[in-house]
Amino acid sequence: MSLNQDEEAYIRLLRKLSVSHHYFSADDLRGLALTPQPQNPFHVISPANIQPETRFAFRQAFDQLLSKNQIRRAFLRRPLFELAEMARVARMIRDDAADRTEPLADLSKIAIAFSGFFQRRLSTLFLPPALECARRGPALFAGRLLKEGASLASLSADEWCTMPPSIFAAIADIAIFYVCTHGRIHQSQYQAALHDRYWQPSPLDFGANGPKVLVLDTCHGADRQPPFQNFWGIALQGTSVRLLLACEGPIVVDVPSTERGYAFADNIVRNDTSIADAWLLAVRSTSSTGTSRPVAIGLGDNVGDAQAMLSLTFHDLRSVGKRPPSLSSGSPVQFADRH
Amino acid sequence: MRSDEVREWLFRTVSERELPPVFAIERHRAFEEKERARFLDFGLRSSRRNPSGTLELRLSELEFVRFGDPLSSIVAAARQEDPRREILPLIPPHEGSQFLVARTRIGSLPVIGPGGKILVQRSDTSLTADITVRRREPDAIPSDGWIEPDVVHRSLLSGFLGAEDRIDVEPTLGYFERSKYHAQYLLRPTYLFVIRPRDEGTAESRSLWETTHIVPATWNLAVELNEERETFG
Repeated sequence: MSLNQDEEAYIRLLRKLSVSHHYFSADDLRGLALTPQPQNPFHVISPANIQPETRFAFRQAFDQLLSKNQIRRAFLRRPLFELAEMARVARMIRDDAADRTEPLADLSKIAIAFSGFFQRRLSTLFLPPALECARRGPALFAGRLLKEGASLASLSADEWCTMPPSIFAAIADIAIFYVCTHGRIHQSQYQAALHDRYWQPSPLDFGANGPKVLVLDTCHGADRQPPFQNFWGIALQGTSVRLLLACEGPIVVDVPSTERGYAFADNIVRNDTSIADAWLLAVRSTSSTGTSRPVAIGLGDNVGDAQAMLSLTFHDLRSVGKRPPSLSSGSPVQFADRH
Repeated sequence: MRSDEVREWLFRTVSERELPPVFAIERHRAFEEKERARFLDFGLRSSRRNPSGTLELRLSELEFVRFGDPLSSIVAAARQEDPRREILPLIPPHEGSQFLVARTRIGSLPVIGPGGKILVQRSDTSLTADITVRRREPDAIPSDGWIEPDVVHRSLLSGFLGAEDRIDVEPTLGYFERSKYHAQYLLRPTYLFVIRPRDEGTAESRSLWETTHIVPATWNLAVELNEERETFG
C-alpha cells in the first residue's frame, strides 16, 4: 500500500507538527486516524503554544492538500497510528531531555581575543596596518550574548593577548572562542598576528576541554590554496573544536564590516538558526565591500559527524545532552564545509 | 590602481560626472498587518528590522511544500521598497555558495556598502531573505559641490604615510547604504576605497590583507553635520 504524493505531504506535515514541534499529541493523531473523512487537523484540534502565523500557514497548507480530493482516508490510517507512536516517543524523550538538559550557565561561557596594534618586527613584508576596529567584532559579539545570559570567561587584548591566545579558553570549558586580528599563510601554515609575534595554532593550544566553536575573524582562516584541511586536520586533532568559522582570503576589518560580531551573536540566539549559517549570514550582511568569503567548517571523526556540526545550534552547545564530544585523538579529522 | 593614479581618477570623476544629489530616507514605518498578509500569500513570513525598518523574509520547510521557490516574489518585494531603484540580477557571489545577492543602482551610481542589496540564504529546506533597500523620500536634495579631490586623496593616504607606493587602491563612487542593523536617514554620494598591499608576498608567505576608506563625495549645506555622520557611523 503506497501513498500518493498528497498523502505523503499530509503525513510529512503532520510529522513536523507532532514529532518535531510537539503541537499534536499521540492521542490527537489517533483521533485523526479514526475520523470518517480525511480532516484538516486544525479544524478538529486546537494546539496551544502555536504562533498565529504558523497556525495560519499550516491550516492553509492542509486545506490546499485536501481540496485536491486525492487523499484516501483508508490509506492514511496505518501511517497515522505509526506517527502517533513516534509522537509519543518523541514527547517522552523531549520531556526527559528537558529535565536533564536545562541550559547551564557553565556551558554558555564565551572567550574573546583581539589584537589591533602590532610591533614593527612582526613582519619583513609590508607591515599590515593597525586594525583599529579589531576590538569591535569580538566586543559586539560578546555584548550581544551577555544580554542572553552568556558569561565572558576571558578577554585578551593587544599587548596582553598572550601566547597562545586560547590558553584561558582551553581550560575553562568555553562554548565559543572568537578571535580578531590579522591572519596569514606562512609556509602553507595558518598564522594569526598577535602584538609582537605570530601564533600558529596546535592541538596543545585547545586541549580536549576547550572551546567547541572557534571563530577566526582574520584573513586566510580557511584558504583553499593550500587546502585548509592540511593544516587544520593536524592543528585540531584530538581537540574540543568541532566547528571552525572563518573566511577564505582576506576579510575586511572596518567600522561597517565588524558589525558581523553583533550580527553573528544576534543570529545564533535565534533557536532555529545553526551557528554555521549564523556566521555565513553575518559576514555577508555586513561586509562593506561584498568581497569577503565566509566559510563554516564542521569537524568530526567521520564525515557524517562533521556534517552534523553544520547544524549545531547555540542551544545545543548549552545543553549537556546535545553538546558534541571532543574529537578523537586516534583518528584523522574529517571535514564538511558550507559557504 | 596605484595610489597616485587615484588622484587622477578623483579629478576625472568630478570633472566628468554630474553632481549627484542626496536623498532623504523615509523614517521607519510600522509593520502593517496587511503587509504581513500580502507576503503570506507567497508563503513568506515577514518582519521589519528595528531600527532600520528593512524587510526580513523567511520561508520554512512547510512553505516550500506549498509555494516552491519564491525568488521572483522576493525581488518584487524589493522593488516595492524603493520603486525608483534599479535592481540587478540575483546571482551567487561565487560558485557553490548557498547565497544569492542582487545589488541595486540609483541613477548611474551603484549602491555600495553592506546595504543596498537583496541577500538570500538558501538551504535544502528553508530560505531567508534580507531586503536592505530603504525607501527614499520623493524629492532629491541637490548637492552644493564635490569634496575637493585633493582633500579626499590626502585623507585616503593619511593612514599609509611612507608606504603610499606599496598599496593598491580600488575606488568606487556610489550611494552608501548601511546594514540592516542600523537606522539611516540619508543616502549620500560616497567614495569607497578598498586598499590592498601591492606586494602580496610570495607563495611561501602571503600577507594579503584588505581594508577600506569611506568618505563623503559631496557637500551640502542643507544637510546637518550630525546627519552626515549618521551615514557612516
